[in-house]
Amino acid sequence: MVGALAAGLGATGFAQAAPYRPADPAEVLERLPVSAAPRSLQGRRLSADQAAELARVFIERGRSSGDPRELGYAQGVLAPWWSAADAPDRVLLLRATLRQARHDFDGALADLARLLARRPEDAQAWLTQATVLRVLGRYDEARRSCAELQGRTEPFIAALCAAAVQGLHGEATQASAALEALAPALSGQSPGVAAWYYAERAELAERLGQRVVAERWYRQALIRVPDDHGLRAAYADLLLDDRRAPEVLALIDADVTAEALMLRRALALQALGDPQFAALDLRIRDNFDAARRRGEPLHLREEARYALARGETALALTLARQNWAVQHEPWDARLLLVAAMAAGQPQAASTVRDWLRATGLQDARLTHAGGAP
Amino acid sequence: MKHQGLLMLVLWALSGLTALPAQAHRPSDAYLSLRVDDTRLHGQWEIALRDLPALVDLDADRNRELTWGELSAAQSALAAVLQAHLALRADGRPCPLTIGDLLVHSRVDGRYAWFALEADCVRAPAILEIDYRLLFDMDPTHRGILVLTAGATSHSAVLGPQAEPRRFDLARPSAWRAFLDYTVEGVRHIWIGYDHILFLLALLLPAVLRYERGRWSAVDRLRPALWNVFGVVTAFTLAHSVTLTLAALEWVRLPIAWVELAIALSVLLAALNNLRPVVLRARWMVAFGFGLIHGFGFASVLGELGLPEGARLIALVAFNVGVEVGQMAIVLVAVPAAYALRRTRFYQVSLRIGGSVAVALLALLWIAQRGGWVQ
Repeated sequence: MVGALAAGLGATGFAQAAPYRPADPAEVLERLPVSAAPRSLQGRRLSADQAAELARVFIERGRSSGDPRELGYAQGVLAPWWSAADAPDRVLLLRATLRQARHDFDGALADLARLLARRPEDAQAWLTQATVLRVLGRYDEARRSCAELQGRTEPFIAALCAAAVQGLHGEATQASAALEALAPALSGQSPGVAAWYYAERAELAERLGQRVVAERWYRQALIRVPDDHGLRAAYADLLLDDRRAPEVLALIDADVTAEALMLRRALALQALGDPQFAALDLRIRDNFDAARRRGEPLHLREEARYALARGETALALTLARQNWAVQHEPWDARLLLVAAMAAGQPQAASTVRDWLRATGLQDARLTHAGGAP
Repeated sequence: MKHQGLLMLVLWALSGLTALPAQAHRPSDAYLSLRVDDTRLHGQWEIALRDLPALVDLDADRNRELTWGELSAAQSALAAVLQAHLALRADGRPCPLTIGDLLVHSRVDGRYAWFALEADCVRAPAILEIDYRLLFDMDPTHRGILVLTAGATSHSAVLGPQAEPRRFDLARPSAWRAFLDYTVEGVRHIWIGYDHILFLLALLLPAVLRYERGRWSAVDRLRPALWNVFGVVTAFTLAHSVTLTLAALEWVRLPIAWVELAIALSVLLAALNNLRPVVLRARWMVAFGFGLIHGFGFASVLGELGLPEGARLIALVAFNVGVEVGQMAIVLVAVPAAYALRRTRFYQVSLRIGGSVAVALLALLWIAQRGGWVQ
């Protein structure tokens, strides 16, 4: 009877707000993006170059606003070439970028291979290919892509690409020295490239267990690009590992909208037992549910991590496995190792251990997670 | 310029967060719900306010803030766009669409424009075709999240930019299938409808007790207890079956708010009666009287499900059977337990007083909510 009472009372808490008619015509309902969708382009025929240029603008806008609609608009202007295997060069590169963003890594690699067969001098394509291969944990091939950059772009960028992959590929100490050797050339670089450099140093230092050094590099990178979500998320992860939750809250404030950052803030609130956790928890789970309804599980890594933090070990293991089937970054390895341990099935992570042996990846965080050879 | 493009791709690769790293919004999802009611379809279509600028010119004063005034001024323009991008066909024949009321819906991820939809088909669809084209020419990653309900079955689908319209087979389920579906719904409803269960349990609680000269004691034999239970359960069942049928066939109608309030009141009175008995032997009459009201409550649920065309009577009987089966399951667990515990202080004091007080308080809360006195 008490159970029924509790359920009866609890049920009222989940009621979704009903649709309503605002009373005041001046009530602001939504802030609209800078410029709207390509409605004005409808019915106009664009050349491949015009379309590619527009798509690039949409992609860039999507990056700064965080609204995936912009990526949809980019795909929309590329529509006449979207399913053409033999699309023009510029379209292929942008299509690869959009496919990568939607986790269609094979599709992205196919586009890049086609483009590079035609235009081996395209440095952007080599760099994007290195990036995708790196996400997939295919370090041999990623190294070859970085090597192709030499003589095709600035030496600094070619060297940085190579050192970053070397650092993942069993030669962390040598990579650290290589990055150090690049430091004098840093002064002429744009803030974006400098941030990339510091982010690689931070990530490598963290893998080598040099947490204080890593923090210094993260801060250096954030001075260059203070709003970069990926960088802030990586720094927040370091703070979370160090049990410095209050600093995470200072780094990511309450009106955050980026999902990756929302998740880090929620983990910090949870660690502190803060009552604000409940509301954020609801939003995050609603986001995961919406992605699943759509049939596009783009958040497997984050979802696995979140399930783990909430003690749902069986679910966390399932998600971490699905995520590992898609991508192989150090964090993906870590999640599957930890989830397998938490679920009491260490053998579930044996593919990770095999992969670690094969690649020679060094990562202090993985050693703690049971990935030691 | 070329260099800038390179940087963009580099930044995207930073820190391993490759999957839409900065995603601060949901992708574009619209929610389309449709219910088939014989030859009519009705439902709603919810579109994120962020998607509307792609459909019509909304922000009249160009200040990048969308107000309710601006949204409602664009209502007819939006309705025209929506109408042009959704086509429904029943067995190949078009069902003309009417876009109705515009409201605003706050979802967890932001606000949505909420449009009421109606469509009239020439015949009740066996195959319903849905041709959904909203936004795809601009944003091929847009998706329509569809929930389509027909009778007790519902279909869900994700509508994307494929060439062919989606087809849903609504062919009326066999009579046996309808019977089974509606029986399950009946069971489900009595189990999740706490007010009905609590009313019944409150009336059954004293069935294993005797009240004489202001004192409660346990009955000695099973027989009188069973007669008590039998009387209450039969009276309740008969009464709510009668009103459920009358209401489901739309011969009698009562305002649902009034019914819900009366149901809450019945729970309160049944609980109070266990604290200070007013009615004892004639509890079956109470069960009958209020059972009539509870029947209207069941009918409102059945009204939401809708009775399938051609199987109305079967569904009605099945739903009723489901309610009785669900109710008997509860009685078969509760009564033996009550009989076994009837002599204990726990049953006579803690459960009778404490349980009844708790039920009475909950009923008061329901009364306050349903009467609109508290939220």
